Amino acid sequence: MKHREIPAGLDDGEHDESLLVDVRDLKKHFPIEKGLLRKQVGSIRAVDGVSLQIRPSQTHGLVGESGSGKTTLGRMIIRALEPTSGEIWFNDRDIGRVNIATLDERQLRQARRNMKIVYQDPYSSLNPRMTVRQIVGEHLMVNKKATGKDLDRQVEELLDLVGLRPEYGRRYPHAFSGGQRQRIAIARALSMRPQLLICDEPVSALDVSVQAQILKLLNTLQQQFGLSYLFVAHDLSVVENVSDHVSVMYVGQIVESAPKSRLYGAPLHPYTEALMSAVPQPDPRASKKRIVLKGELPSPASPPSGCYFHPRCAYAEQVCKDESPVLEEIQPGHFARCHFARTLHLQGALSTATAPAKPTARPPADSAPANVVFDAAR
Amino acid sequence: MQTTSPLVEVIDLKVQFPLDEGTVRAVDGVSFTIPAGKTLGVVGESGCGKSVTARSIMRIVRSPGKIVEGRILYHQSAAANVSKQKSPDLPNANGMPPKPATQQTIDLTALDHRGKEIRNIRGNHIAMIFQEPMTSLSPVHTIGNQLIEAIQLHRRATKQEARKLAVEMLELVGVPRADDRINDYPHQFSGGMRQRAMIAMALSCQPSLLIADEPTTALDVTTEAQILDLIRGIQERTGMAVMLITHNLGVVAEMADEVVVMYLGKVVESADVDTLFHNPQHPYTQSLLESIPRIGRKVEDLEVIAGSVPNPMNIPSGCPFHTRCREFLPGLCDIEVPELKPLDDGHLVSCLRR
Repeated sequence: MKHREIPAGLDDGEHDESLLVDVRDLKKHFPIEKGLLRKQVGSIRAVDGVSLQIRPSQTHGLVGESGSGKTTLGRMIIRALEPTSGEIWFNDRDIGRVNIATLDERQLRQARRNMKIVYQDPYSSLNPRMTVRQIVGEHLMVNKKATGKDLDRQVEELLDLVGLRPEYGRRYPHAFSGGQRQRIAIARALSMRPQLLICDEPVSALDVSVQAQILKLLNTLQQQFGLSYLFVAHDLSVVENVSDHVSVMYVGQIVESAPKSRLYGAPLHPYTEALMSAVPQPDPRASKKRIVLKGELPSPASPPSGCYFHPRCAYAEQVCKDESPVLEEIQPGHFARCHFARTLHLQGALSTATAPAKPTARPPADSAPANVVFDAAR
Repeated sequence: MQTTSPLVEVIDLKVQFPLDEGTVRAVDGVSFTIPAGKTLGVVGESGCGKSVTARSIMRIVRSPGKIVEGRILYHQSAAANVSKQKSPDLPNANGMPPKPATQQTIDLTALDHRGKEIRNIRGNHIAMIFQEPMTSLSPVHTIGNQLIEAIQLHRRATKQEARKLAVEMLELVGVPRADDRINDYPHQFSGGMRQRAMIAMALSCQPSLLIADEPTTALDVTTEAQILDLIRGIQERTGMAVMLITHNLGVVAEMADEVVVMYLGKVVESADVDTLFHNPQHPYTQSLLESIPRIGRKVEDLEVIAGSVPNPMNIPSGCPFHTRCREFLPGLCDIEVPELKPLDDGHLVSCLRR
């Protein structure tokens, strides 16, 4: 996208010191190659100009359907994937504010101590040939933070922290259930006391009863260590439960971003509305009127003209086919990428009673951080 | 659809898997009824035996699993009653003879699982769709050929007739340009489209029961909404019964008329959908409902069921849920085995403390 989104109160090139992560106009284009000479015939715009901010000790939820680019975005932030362009500013407590996208290997290793990732499938993310003690202690050992007895003691503390018995350290991953494995993965990620934890669908492979355990654990750890999370998930209820701020992705772009009570109470983008209405409610008395979207998520290799959502949108008009909307701040702190964001009255998932009453009564976003706005709304 | 006569009755079903490490009692004395024309939701976490129960009805339990006890009664008369109400707009290629209307009740467990009789019922009277459509479709045959094969297996139809019906079925389930896409291979379909093709195949013989095993678990919410809408719409028009197996309580609340909750191979509670969600009695059902993240609720308020589902090789004594139960009473729950008892009209609970 040509348009460059700049958060309120910030000039380009200037940094808001209170942000832990400040992603600016990040892109990842995968080339499509054809023929013997691997000539590039096009590109898949998996992530196409995304900007987002994460504040210390807060959770930024990222929702979207499969193929929307949310996982690619999460992986680029720790540079497990090389971004095509864009900036990833990270306020590292050891080496200061750095642009992850331009770091050399040595600096990147340094910065990665403070940002870790927890993957979706705990069955494939743990090395089956390593004991739990080796898995959890690996970062400590590699970074020469602890050896021998001290290492053992620290691993035991970590296991205790995530609710596993210390003697489990001698076992191999196969001896554990899905929920326990996810606890091991979290213990490993926490071993270097990171500032940022990227959780890529951390509970979607787990049973309902175990899901609640892991969500509670993540919540407790955040309060205990002041951790920040980027919480990537497709389950809107889970994201609502854990997040302070939520962004919705559609075909590589953020289409809406707001403090959670605003996003769920009064969404401004039709896609957000449809997504929320599609979630089956665990209550047979709940209204069964739903917005059933036509068609499927378009391919990021050949997105539709204009607004990417227009072929499936109930409110689409001619302008939506012709012009791409930009992500605009419609209300303080509430961004939406829709031509009609100001005029549509969309239905949220929260009742209007719990949603903020009057948007105009709120303090402007630049004078109050998102969390304060959010608490006041509650 | 006023009819509530039972279509399938499962009575005291026990399925065991004799393994080297010991015997897994995957289904351990399960009884329930699928009413004709209605939707029965079967809920439970992984390993509770819900899929094995479904596979028992189809008689496709994987070896070395065996039905060791119990009966599964299929009442064809109930099916015939419903099919009379079927609306005429469902594709039914001309000249195809209708299924012979028999009034008999068949015990599915008594049939040879490779025999002629079960093969006539499987796919024809009772059809099944699975969680991952990619693994249940053949990757080397076109969608069309797989559909035509299913139709010709159960109907006396020429290839042209079967193909015509196949296209109509694909149109019915919402595959765009069905006449064209019938020649595609499964990998050319998206996840949602593959599940539609599976449903088309399952419905091509107008079954009286559709068993849907986690039909939307692998799909996105918006696609899930489409598929659930589709199943409900077809059910309204044809009056087929649906056995919906899922761990997603939201899907059950939206789709089911009756709900069965399973835990470690046993039914712990069964009731109509409204009672189950608004007046659950078994501690497991209660905890399960409180552990779902809902919009507008804080993580702190989520109920957590301690521990995880026990190893099925090593089922706890007494009430199988006692190790995780918040109302556990030592000396009672760990010794006595609870029975499924009626609380009031149609509400069955298996708990010693009720």
